[in-house]
Order: sequence, then structure tokens, then C-alpha cells
Amino acid sequence: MSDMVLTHKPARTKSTVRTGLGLPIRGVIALGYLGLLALGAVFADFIGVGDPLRQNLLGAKMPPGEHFWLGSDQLGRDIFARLIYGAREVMLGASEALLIAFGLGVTAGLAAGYVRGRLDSILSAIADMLQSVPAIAVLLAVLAVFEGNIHAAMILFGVLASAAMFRVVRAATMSISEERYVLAARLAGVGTWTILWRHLARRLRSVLMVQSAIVVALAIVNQVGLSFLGLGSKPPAPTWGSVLMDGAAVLFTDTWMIIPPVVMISITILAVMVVGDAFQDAATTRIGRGSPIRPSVRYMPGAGARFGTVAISNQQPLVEVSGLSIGIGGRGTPLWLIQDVSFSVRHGEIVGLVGESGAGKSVAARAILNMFPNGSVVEGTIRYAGREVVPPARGVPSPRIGYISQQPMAALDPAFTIGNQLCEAIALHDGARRGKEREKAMELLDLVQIREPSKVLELYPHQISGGMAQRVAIAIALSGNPQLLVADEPTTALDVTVQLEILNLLKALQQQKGLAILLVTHDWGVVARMCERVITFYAGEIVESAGVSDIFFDPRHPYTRALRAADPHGQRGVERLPVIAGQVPPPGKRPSGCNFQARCQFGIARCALKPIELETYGDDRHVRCIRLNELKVPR
Amino acid sequence: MKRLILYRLAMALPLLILVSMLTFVLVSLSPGDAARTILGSNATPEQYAALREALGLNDPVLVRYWHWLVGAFEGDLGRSLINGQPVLTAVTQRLGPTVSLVSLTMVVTVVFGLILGIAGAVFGGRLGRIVDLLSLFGMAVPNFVLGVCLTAIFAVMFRLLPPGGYVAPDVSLLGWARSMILPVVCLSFFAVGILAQQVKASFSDALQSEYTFNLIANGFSRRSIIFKHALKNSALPILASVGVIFSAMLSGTVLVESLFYIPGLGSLAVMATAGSDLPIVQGVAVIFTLAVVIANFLLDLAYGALNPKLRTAEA
Ligand code: SF4
Repeated sequence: MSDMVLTHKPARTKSTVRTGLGLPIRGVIALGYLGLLALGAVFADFIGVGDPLRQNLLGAKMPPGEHFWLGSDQLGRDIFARLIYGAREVMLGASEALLIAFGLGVTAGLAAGYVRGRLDSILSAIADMLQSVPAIAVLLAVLAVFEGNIHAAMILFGVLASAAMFRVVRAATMSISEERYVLAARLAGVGTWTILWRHLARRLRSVLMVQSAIVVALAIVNQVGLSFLGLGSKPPAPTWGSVLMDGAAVLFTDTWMIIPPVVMISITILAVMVVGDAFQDAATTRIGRGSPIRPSVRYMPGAGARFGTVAISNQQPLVEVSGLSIGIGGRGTPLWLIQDVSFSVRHGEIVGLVGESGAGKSVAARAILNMFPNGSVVEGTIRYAGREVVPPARGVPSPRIGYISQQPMAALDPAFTIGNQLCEAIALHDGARRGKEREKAMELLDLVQIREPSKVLELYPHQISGGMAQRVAIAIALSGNPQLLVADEPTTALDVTVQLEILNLLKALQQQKGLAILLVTHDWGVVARMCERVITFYAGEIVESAGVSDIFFDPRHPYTRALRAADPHGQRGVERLPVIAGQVPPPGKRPSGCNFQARCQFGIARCALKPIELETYGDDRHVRCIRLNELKVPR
Repeated sequence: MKRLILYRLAMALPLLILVSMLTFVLVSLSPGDAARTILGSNATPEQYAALREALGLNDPVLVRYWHWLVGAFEGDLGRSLINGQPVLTAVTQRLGPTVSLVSLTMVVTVVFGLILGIAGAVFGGRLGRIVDLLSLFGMAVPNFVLGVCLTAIFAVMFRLLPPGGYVAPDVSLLGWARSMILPVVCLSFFAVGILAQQVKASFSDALQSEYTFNLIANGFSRRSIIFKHALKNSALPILASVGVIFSAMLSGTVLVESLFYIPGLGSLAVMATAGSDLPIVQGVAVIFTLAVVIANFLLDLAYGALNPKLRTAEA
């Protein structure tokens, strides 16, 4: 998962102007509008809005102008005054609904989320029930009995709307009360409610704002709708719905008359939604262009190269990565995830990419599959089997390379059977063998040493174990007879015994089928067991590449040395990369000069001056350290 | 799976009872009553008392509800207070237009909701923002407001479409289609936005998942990933929101049918409400609730068919 985190970071975070409230500017504008409307409605009597009821038949249907800001209706009443006074009822109704929904929903949600058990099932069932009631049918029933009493209707609406409020509060309470600090407080038996409340209040702020905005907006919609139907307050009371209805009545002669109420109603609901949305925005960021399945990737010649590329191998390799740099970011300077990476993989060889989390080894491995984070800037080239795959050639189908990941269970599509997925993979590459996919699927499952393959084909991913899932994933990866398998920490998530089985399987596949494997790992045990050559990554760069025995017995780069020194028994079993003091500088925070200088015990002033080049050392070895030749200290 | 269905059934009964009882409870809380509605205010106290007795209004609420319930099981939902027509007859007469309106709107909503939502998730960026904006405006411009505006534009200014009325499809298919365009657009505007946003959200989740990464890495075609793998994986949340939308849409018919003079259940309920004709209002409420219950039940069956975990748990 290490490098994965980086690949899913948003490519470009939209910078929103934030204000003192921590809200984006449009949220403040919307709040301001609602505040003004509220003040206007409350103090309408004192600020000379005009009389919403005074009729003047001589001044009927006058378009907006000096007499009437927003015109007058068929009875010569001032539309502006009617809308402002109408806002009183709208606000009162919405507040009633919100108060009821909030009170009921939050109380019940807290209780259900905290107490759980029977109470939770009962309350959830009630919420389910309330949510399936067609709201307006019930509101009509209320209005049929209590004629024109819009407040009774709004209160009932609040009851119905409390169900949605209940759900969000319940979910948040449940997730919070499971967290460690609350559990700890629970065990200590003190102040659970205080703690729960404090954390809840923070977590719930944004969900409650969003949900409240929805309740208010829907309350306005329903209330205005009912008065539009003539079922609200009796005429001549000024309501938004009745103003709209008056306009609609003269639609054919005075079409303009619908504009003031339409704008007023829509702008107000929009403002309510924008306020809610603004609180939500405060919590999340937006992703820029592109999407997971169509990431926006720019291939740039020469942008990231700091040095000429280093030819690593003299034979014709299967994979040849040269001068690869991958950065994310928009127009400005990209944030380089990896820089100037060059390496090769020969036919039938197992090469390990080693490094700490965030070192860039997964990013580099995925580049071979032409998979880049959204918003990437890519520089350099990758050749596979003699063809350029990065930058990809247009119109040519990309060659087949197998890929297996760290999370075998998550890597299979949960909605389809093993057989379905495997057969689809086979059909992709073996169009001619239509109808025979199942046969081939059985063969493949047999190859990855799954017993009873015909049974397994019928199963869904959730019905098999992690080890079995990884075997299936390998089978899918091998379905197109690739020459290369990219394995991204293939055993990290598995039990120790299963790890060994999977490693043995991979080794057997290499030996039987001449498969080359690029193995991303941070596990020296895996390296020792599997690899012929090892490439060590540090902070987005290759710091050392060498044969496996050289890395173990004669490491050259101070980083590799430190790792080996901290873990003298690395070959003993399956062990994680040992820890050395300090931290890997993240992309964007890398120093000038050597990336390792802050943690290097051999660092000198010269190391910080300029970027360090990867130097050839001995036969087919490369080390990125300016003191390489001075530090020939025997181990 | 069985449990889910049993739960839905167990839920449906109290829900129907709750909704059908509502008017009885409300009536018992209110000052006026059915006898008053029927007789108007000029009747003598004797007439009034006699009618109360005849209508059984002197019985306690629960007794009256019981009578209604027994009748309901025999298909008798009471009679209109205004013209004495049986509620069931009134409701079935008006069923056609509402079914036309709701089913057409549902089709439009699902088609456009899926297209927009999938496009928003797949292409991201500007298209994704458009989907968000659409759902925001769907909320901000309620169906009746949109309806008034569209009538002004298409019926008044350009005279392209009728401002209202309903033509049965067996009378004139073209007339029916023309009479349905504006109501369907109004009723689906909000729903398309909501559904598209849900589709976009669940598709984005599916496309960001580990298995999608794996499928892409192993060379699966983009078409299969979007329309096979992501679609099936995001089907459950999409179905859930279709259920919610259906319920909101039934509510929407009340306004849209009144606005466009469509003689359906929604406009029937509005007229009945204006005339305090409680049995009719209640009849429509019960029918609407029943429709929601049935829709949820069908959605649950679809859930079960699509979710391997639910299905295999049964075996
Ligand atoms: S260049 Fe300097 S700081 Fe970097 S590894 Fe070599 S000795 Fe250490």
C-alpha cells in the first residue's frame, strides 16, 4: 500500500478562497443572502417594504418599475412586499421542520449508535419505515384535516425527515465509539459521554450541516409547493407559492409575473444548498482533470532528467527503463515521485525492487504497465521486448505483462465468479479459442497448483482464502502468456506459511516457463529467497543496483550498508526492512544534493552541493554516492 | 436473502397501518368532521347528529379504523364525502395517467442518470462538475417552478407544446407523447441529478478500487471494466437510490399533475384535500404507500440477485 497512497492523491487541489469561518467564499455569500432575507422579513414592518395586502386595481399588473420594484399582481398588490412578507412563513416553516428533524434524528441517532443492540434495530426499523412514506401524500392528509395549517404539515415533515438525520448521526456515533480513545474512556468508566460528545461534535459538524441544508431545502420545496396548490395559508396571506400561482394564472398575458417568485424561490433554495455544500467542501478536496480509468498523463521529453541515462546492461534485455521520472502536478513544477530511474530486467530473471515506503519502487514498477497516477508528468522511456511502451505508441495494443498486487482479496472483482474473471482474461488474449476458455482456465488453475479447479471456478472471491486468491490472481496475470510478471509486494498481506507457498510457486513458474519477474518488496527474506539482482530505491531514486550476493555481503551505498548493518541476519527468514533512524524525505521536501544526507553517517559538506550521479562500480553495479571510492571500508 | 425479504414484509404491514391510520387519528384531533363537510354549515343540529350516527362518527377512533380496515381487505376503501363515489373506483379511474407519467419519468431518469453519472465518473473533470451542478439545480428549482417556466417558454412563447391536459395513448399516441413531454421533464429533472450523482459516486469508488487497478494492469478492456465490472459493483447503491427516487417521484406527481391538468392520482389528492374529502386523500396515500412498498420489494429481489454475498449466504 506504501506507494499506492501517492497514486491516489488528487492531482491538483483546487484552491478555494477561505474565510475566517473556514468556509469558501461562496458559502459566505450564500449565508449573507440568507441573513439579509431573514432580517428583511423580520423587520419588514419597519424598513418600508410596503404593504403586501393593499390592493390597487388601477395599478394592477404593472411591470417592475418605479412604483413597484418587482411589479404588481392582478389585484395591484406589490409583489416585492408579498415576497418579503412571504419569507416569514417560509422561514418559520423550515425552522419548525428542521427543529423537529434535528431533535428527533440526533437524539435517536446518538442513542442507537451508542447503545446499539435491540434499541438500534428498533430505531433503524422505524427510520426505514419513515423513509418509505411518500411524504406529500401524508402532508395532504394533514392539510385535509387542518385546513390551511401549513405549520402542522411542516412539523409532520420534520418527523419524516428525521429518519435521514438519524442515519448520519447513528453511523458517525458508531464509528467514533469504536475508536481507541473512546474505548479507553469506556474501560476507565469515566466521562464517556463528555469524550463521545466532544469528538462527535467535531466529526458531526459537517455531516449535520449538509443534512440540515437538505432538510431545510426540502421543507421549503414542500411548503412552497403546497401553497402553490392553494393548500397553504388562505388568501390573501402573502406566500411564495401563492405569488407564483398568481403569476402562473396570467402566464399567457403577463408572462413576466412569474419571474420574481421563480428567482426568489430558486435562489433561496440554492443558497441553502450552497451553505451545506460549503461545509462539506471544507472537509474534502477536489480532484482535477482525469479519472482513475482515464488518468491524465503528460509525456514530456527531458523534463525530469538531471543526467544522461545510464545504459545498464549490454545484453538485449526484456525490459529497459531509461531516464524515467514521474511527477504529479499541474502547470507548475511537478512534484517528482521518482527521478531519473534506469534499470533493466533480462529474460527469465527475477529482479527485486527494494526500499522503504514512499521510496517510489511501486511507482516505477507500475510505469512498466503504463499505469501512472492521475495528473502525472512522465519523462523517459521504457522498452519491453524490443518495443517502446512508454510513451505508448498510438493505435498499437499494449503488450501483455502480468501484474499481481499486494491485496489478493481486494484484487479480484467481488461481483463475479473466479471462472468468469479468468475466462474473460483468457478470451482477451486468445480470441481464436472461443468456447475453450474454460478448458484453459482449468489448465491455468492447475498451473498455479489449485486443487479441484472446476469447483473453484464456480466460487466468488469472498468464498476463498487469501492464499488461494493470490493464486487465482497469478492465474489471471498469466492468462496472456506474458514474458514478464510484475509482482507488487505479493506476499505482504499473507500468513507466513502461505507466503512461502506463493514464493515457491513464483519461483517454479520462473523456472518452468522462463518467466521474468519484477518483484517489489521491502522484505529482505523475500529478496534472499527469490532475486538474482536487487535495485535499492531511496526517496525516488535508485541508490544502488547489484547482484543479490553483493547486496548482502558487500553493500556499497551508505543506505544499503545501514540497512544491512541494522539487520545482520537478514537471510534467516521473512523479515521486514529494518528501521534506521530518521525519515525518508517526501517528494517536494527533498534536499539539494544527496537525498540520504540527513541520515547518512558518512555525509560531508560536499554531499549537499548538487545532485549525485549514479556511478558504475565494478561489473554491472551502480551506486549513487560521491564518496563511493573513499569508503572502501571492509565490512 | 430470505431474511431481507422477511424484514421487508415485516416492515410493510406496520407501514401501511401507520399511513392508513393517520387520517383517523388526525380527524380525532381536529374540530371539524365528516358530517360537517357533507352537510355544510346550514344543516340543523338534528340532521347533523343523525348523520354522525349513520357515519359511525360516535364510535371511538380505533373502532372506526377497524371497520375501515375490514372493509379495505374486501376492497372497500370507503366513499367520497363529496360525491359518494367509492374511493376504489375514483382511484382506479385515475390510475392510467399517473402510471404513464411515473413510468415514463422513471425510464428517462434511469437512462439519463446512468449516462451522465457514468460519463462523469469516467471522464471526471468538467463533466463531473456538471453532474454535481445538475443535482444542485435539481434541488434548487423544484418541479412546479420548472414547470411554470417551461410552460412559459414552450407553450406560451413558442407554442410548441400544449400547456397542459392529458391525452390517453389509445386516443392518440402522438397527443399522449406531446402531453407527457413537459410533465416528464419537470418530474425527472430533480431525479436525474440525484441519480447521476449517486451513479458517479459509486462508479468512482468502483473505478478507484484495487480490483479495477488489477483489471487495467492485466489488460482488460476499458469497455468491460466500465460496463461489466464497475456497473455490477456499483449496482447496489444505485438501486437503493432508485428506491428513494421512486418515492420522491410519487410525491412529485401531486404538483406536476395539478400544474399540467393531468387527471391522475396526484391531482385527485389535491382536489380532495382542498375539499376536505378525507376518504379520497387517505385512499391515495394508501395506494402510494403500497406502490413504494412493492417497489422496495422488487428492488430487494434485484439486490439479492446482484449481490453474490447475499446469494451464497443462503446456500
Ligand atoms: S553522497 Fe554523501 S550523504 Fe549521500 S550517501 Fe554518499 S556519503 Fe552519504
